[in-house]
Amino acid sequence: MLQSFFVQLVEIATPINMLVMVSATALGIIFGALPGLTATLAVALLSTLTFGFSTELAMVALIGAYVGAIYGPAHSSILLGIPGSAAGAATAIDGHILAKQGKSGQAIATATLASVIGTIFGIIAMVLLSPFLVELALNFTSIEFFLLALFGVLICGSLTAPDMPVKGWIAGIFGLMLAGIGIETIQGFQRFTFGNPNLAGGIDVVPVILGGFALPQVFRVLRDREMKQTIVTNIGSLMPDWLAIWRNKFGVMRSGAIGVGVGVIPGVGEDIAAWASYDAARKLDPKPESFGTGNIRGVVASETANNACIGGAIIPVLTLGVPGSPPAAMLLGALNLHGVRPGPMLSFEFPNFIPQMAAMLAWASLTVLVLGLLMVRISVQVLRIPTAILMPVVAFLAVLGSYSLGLNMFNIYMMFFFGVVVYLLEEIGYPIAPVVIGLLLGNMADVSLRRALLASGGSVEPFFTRPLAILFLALIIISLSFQSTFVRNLFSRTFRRRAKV
Amino acid sequence: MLPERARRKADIVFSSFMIVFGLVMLYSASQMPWSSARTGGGSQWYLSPGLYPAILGTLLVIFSARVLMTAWREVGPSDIATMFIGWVRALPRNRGVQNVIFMMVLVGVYIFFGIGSGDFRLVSAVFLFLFIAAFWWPDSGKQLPLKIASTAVIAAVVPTLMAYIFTTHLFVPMP
Repeated sequence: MLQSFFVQLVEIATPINMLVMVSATALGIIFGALPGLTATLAVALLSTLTFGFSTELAMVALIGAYVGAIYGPAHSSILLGIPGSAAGAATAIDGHILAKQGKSGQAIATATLASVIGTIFGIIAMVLLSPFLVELALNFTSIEFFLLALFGVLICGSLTAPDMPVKGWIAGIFGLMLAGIGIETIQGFQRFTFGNPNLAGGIDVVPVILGGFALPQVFRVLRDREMKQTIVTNIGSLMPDWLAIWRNKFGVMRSGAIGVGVGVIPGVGEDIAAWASYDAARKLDPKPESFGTGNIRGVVASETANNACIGGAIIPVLTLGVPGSPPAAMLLGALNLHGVRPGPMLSFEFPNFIPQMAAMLAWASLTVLVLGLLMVRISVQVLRIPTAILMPVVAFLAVLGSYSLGLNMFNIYMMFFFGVVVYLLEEIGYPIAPVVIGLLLGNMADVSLRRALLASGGSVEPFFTRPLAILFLALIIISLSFQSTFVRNLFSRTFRRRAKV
Repeated sequence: MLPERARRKADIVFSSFMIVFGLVMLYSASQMPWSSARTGGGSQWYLSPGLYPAILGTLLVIFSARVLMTAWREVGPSDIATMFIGWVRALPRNRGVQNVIFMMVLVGVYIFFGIGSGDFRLVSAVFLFLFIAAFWWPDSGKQLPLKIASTAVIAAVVPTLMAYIFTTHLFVPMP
């Protein structure tokens, strides 16, 4: 794998690939920097534009945009104090204070370096972990695939629900249900199509993602009109704080590990990685009270983790066909559009695909290193664009993007429907990520369940006797039961009693 | 997100709806072929297309019941109607909700009535012009003429440029 990675690193470096990589990364940085525009939206909109490209060129563009858009919020967080994403909010806490102290150039340069280090962590994890995961996944039967899909949806629901975990699970079930619409693959029976031929082929993931991520964001940002923004225009020296990074090398490694670890968990993503890493850095720092007052370690922790999460999130996409984050879900959708079916067989069908993706990530991180610093002064100008102009343009692009994939108006109607529904659901605490993960994994869950039962002649016994199935079942039960107050109280009482003894 | 009390009240209504929805799903699943010979051979219950929706319907009912129970215990259903009437009465003063309704209507009109009724670029330009104007022009003072001109340029350029890229380079005809 390692050798193949280095070969791909050279092979994909064609002039056209590099041109597309630089353009897509620049676009991603701008997209990520603009408050309200997310990495998922960047990848989703770009996947509609790259539909006509070859698979390799489309992936170069999408990976570039993905890495750029995850890094981009660092600019707005530091210069504006208004993060472009939830992950950027962790960077803003210390980054904007540093900017106000006249160290915005140093903060951005350090954030850029931390992002590159984080991406490299993700690449290393991808190259080293993927072969083991493929090996493991080759032992999966339909039982494990069904349980994996169920686990993915439930864990994503648990970790992304802002209110109650059960609401995340309901959102996941809703996504699984959406995947059940259309002609099912085993008996060819039409489920929940209500005689509408547009629903017979099922629901496309792109209109759901565009509707679910673009329209609610447009509604929310413009709902309360524009906030008064005070942008820091004095950039100063663009030299990273090398000493801070070197002294914090173990912290950087911890953040990278957190990023990769969170990335591998289905559907969770960069936001949680950044916050988990920031929280860990604050708690383990000798001066935790300095966090929030302009501590560069806070910036390093969140930026390393959210970029390390990219590689982590791509690992399950390529090896299991399960997305690790919402942008990775869109990447999975784009791969499907290009006729590539990620999963354990990918390494046999396209032996160089995983090293190729890792090589693209490496080029993207190098591009971020250069563009991230070059674009700081451009970001200052871009961040002056009022959201009242940007958001209507995003709504227009979401309409055009939805139409361009299937060339039918029904996709636009679906996009609008999901936009309105997701906005209302988010208002009452239901997250969108489990819906998308459910929609992507629904078919796998449905077919795998019935195949598993067919193989066992209707017996559920193999679900409780196969070692991997037991592992997944245990994970599902643990993730479900730990949301119960009764179980949590029981555990805390047991541990307190043991501590007293 | 709504404030916690209002959210819990909404939970009572929404989770009740989801329980009914889950039950409807279960009923629909029960109407699907379970042991028929639809595909030629004698299908077993575990191959039925109704199995998957039946499981999801059951989970939906259980999870929604959990949300309903929590919301019921925390705030109860006593003044849902009063709160809703109060929210409706406060609408004339609630700029945030007015903005969202306006945007939903504008995007809806553009999608359902605008697209297809005329040239896509023209319809999209009108949509963008109105959308930007509604949120960018208020309280502009002396900058208003400049903003009007900028809006017109953006509204004209963006759809034209995107239509050009999609039709010429990506071979995607406009709706």
